[in-house]
Amino acid sequence: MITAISKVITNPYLVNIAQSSDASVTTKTCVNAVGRPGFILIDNNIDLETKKFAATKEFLYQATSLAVYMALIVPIFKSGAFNVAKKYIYKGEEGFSKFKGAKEYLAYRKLAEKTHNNRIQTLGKDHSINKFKHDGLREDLINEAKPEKYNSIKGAIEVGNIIGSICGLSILAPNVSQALIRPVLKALGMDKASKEQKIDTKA
Amino acid sequence: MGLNNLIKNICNKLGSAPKATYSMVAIATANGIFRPTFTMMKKGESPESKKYAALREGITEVIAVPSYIICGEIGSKLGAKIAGKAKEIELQKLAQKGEHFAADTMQEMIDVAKKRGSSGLNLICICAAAGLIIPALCSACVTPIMNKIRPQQNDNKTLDIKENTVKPPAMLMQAKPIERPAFKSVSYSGMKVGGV
Repeated sequence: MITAISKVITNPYLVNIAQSSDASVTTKTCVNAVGRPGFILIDNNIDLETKKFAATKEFLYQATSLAVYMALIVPIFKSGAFNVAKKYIYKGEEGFSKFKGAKEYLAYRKLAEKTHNNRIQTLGKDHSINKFKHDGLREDLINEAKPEKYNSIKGAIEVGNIIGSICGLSILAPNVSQALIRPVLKALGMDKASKEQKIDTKA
Repeated sequence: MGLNNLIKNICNKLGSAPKATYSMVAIATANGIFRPTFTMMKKGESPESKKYAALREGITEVIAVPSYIICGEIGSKLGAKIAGKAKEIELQKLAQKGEHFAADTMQEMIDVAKKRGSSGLNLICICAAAGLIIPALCSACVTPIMNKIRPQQNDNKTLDIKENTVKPPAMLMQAKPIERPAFKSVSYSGMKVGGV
């Protein structure tokens, strides 16, 4: 039992998601997009029409947030944070100068976190033969049992992701979704106005 | 210089032990500030309903922040324990099969497993908090808290026609028949005015 649970919680994909702010925020938003409308739909104290309306609105809000976050925030803030840290905060310090961008660093860190044997196997594959062939990075990965992970770079990227998450999910997404949700609900025939019209016609 | 060092410290801390909790708490805190602000800035709604909505959003985020922290911590600690124990069992099984490792290597393997388990269950608990625990807590707590903060206004109350009808005073409801004085047609003395 304990081994089975451990296999689930130490799954490499899950751990990678957990250790990256943008991936965990994306996962949480997906959970919200499914969970919150679900909660509304199983509530027995609300009438069916209102439940449908509220659940659709909530789903659209979460979906818009996710789209804004994925399309704008993640790419801008991830690489932006790396560049800002490289130019202004860690200017001239070792580490940042070895990597061209956040993408390359994250690929390096992913390998550095693997066990020595796994790392060598991965680096031996066709698509990885020419990877990290500069600044002694490849040598570090092959020869060192515990290669340097450059935690400060990871930290800078995380700070960028967190700032991006705040900008995206707390400031930008509510305003964008407010502008988008009403037309979509209207197109689906679930807008408040059309609802009231329906009631009026019946009356 | 001081600010630079502070940023560097934060970066080192976040880089050495990245956790999903940090970003969730940051987002919930920002939501607690910005959402009520945006609600109060909305045009075309009555100030009372804006205040009510903003307060409700604020309380929701006040519930969310500690929930993320507590669930994340429980997940991290439990995950480390489970993964560490499972790795120990796995290593014992390997030792029984004849595969032996140096003590340092074994400890390192257990530590890595603990770290991975901690991260994995942390994320699962955070997602559980976001999808289940916080909505459940909010539906259980927000309305009573709102009623305590603003007891004089119960915005959720539906219009109760019976309650609002004007009742006649109880005196009128139980009106007794008027007692008339008994007139007697017999004159006892003195002169009669008019009549026969």
